[in-house]
Amino acid sequence: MAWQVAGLLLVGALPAVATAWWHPRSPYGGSAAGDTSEASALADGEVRLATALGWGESVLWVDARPSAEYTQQRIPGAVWLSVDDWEAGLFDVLERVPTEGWVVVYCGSQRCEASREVAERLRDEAGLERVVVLHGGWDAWKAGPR
Amino acid sequence: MQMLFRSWFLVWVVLCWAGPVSAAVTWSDKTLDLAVEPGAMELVGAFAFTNEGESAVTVTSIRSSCGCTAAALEKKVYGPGESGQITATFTLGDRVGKQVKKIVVRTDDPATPVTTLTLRADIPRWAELSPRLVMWRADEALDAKTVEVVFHDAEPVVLTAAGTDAEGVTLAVEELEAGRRYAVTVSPEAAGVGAEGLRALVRIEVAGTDREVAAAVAKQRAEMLRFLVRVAGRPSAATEAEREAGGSAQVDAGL
Repeated sequence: MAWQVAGLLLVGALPAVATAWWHPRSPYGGSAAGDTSEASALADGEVRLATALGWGESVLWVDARPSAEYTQQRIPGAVWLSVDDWEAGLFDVLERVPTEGWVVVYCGSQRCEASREVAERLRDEAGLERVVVLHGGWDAWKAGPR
Repeated sequence: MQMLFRSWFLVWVVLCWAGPVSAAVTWSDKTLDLAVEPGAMELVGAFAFTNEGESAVTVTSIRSSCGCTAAALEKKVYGPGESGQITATFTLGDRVGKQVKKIVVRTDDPATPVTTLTLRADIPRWAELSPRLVMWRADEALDAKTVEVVFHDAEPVVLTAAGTDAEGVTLAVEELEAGRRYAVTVSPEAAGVGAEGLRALVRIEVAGTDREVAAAVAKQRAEMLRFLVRVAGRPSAATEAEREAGGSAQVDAGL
């Protein structure tokens, strides 16, 4: 009986321990690739919030989230642009692009793709050179610079 | 040592749980490559499946990676041997290029509780204007710049005119390849650029597209054929004259 109880405990404990080790958001570790925090590694073409804030007034924020989320809450001064309705928002961005500054695109979180798509199209189609993606997206903005 | 323990855990877990269960829901295709017809506004793909298990399976949720992709299912519960399909509708919007949209399906089937379906498409551009923004900085000479216009339609498209909504910009159109490639040269006039700068929206007009297209497609194409001209404000002619009279040192320094 005691062996059976010990066996059952072992059966339950093993996946729990394994989850704690391997889960992307495990407080005990986890892979950096799945880490969505501000502290995770920067990908090519990304910028941290603290750096972008340091650019001050010479930044144009571009919100690539769904329009409903943009309408509800956004980074002050941000302009909406989405691949869903590219032409509707493109000229609002082009009218405001700073001649010497940066364009910083964000979407909901580190996992979303919209900001990368928008940034790529701004580079390719508009010919803008200084376009970067906000690492961590809107989540990073809400959390504040670290 | 740590890696050894982790590997051992993985093997253990796989042996304990993966062995006894067998797949109940099978899919004919988990990835669909959809062809895009010119002028298409949406793409529809069907993911067919069959419950090959011995008990009913319930589809508990269907979630797509993009708000642009809607997935529909006739019903939620499928008995043994029963087949069904998830119909995915991808609204193209203004998207271009390679697209990959994921749909995550969750069921109470213990063998495959989560299945990821993929829709792939390559959306061709009807026309490309490069770049869409022509800009002169405050310290930049007002030399002419060029926007290249390329049409990818099956039929030739002729660029007939380029017009602007503001004065102070001269436009010249050159044919590079009949019905395919054109160059629009933009020259800001110094007299039209004051301290406030200059802004002009340029619209391209075309002919030769006899094939009828939906109104929405025509509107989308018209919007595509625009680009913006911006010239940063610079000192007025009077100020420049004063500066020239003030000394040549500043001019030499490029100020």
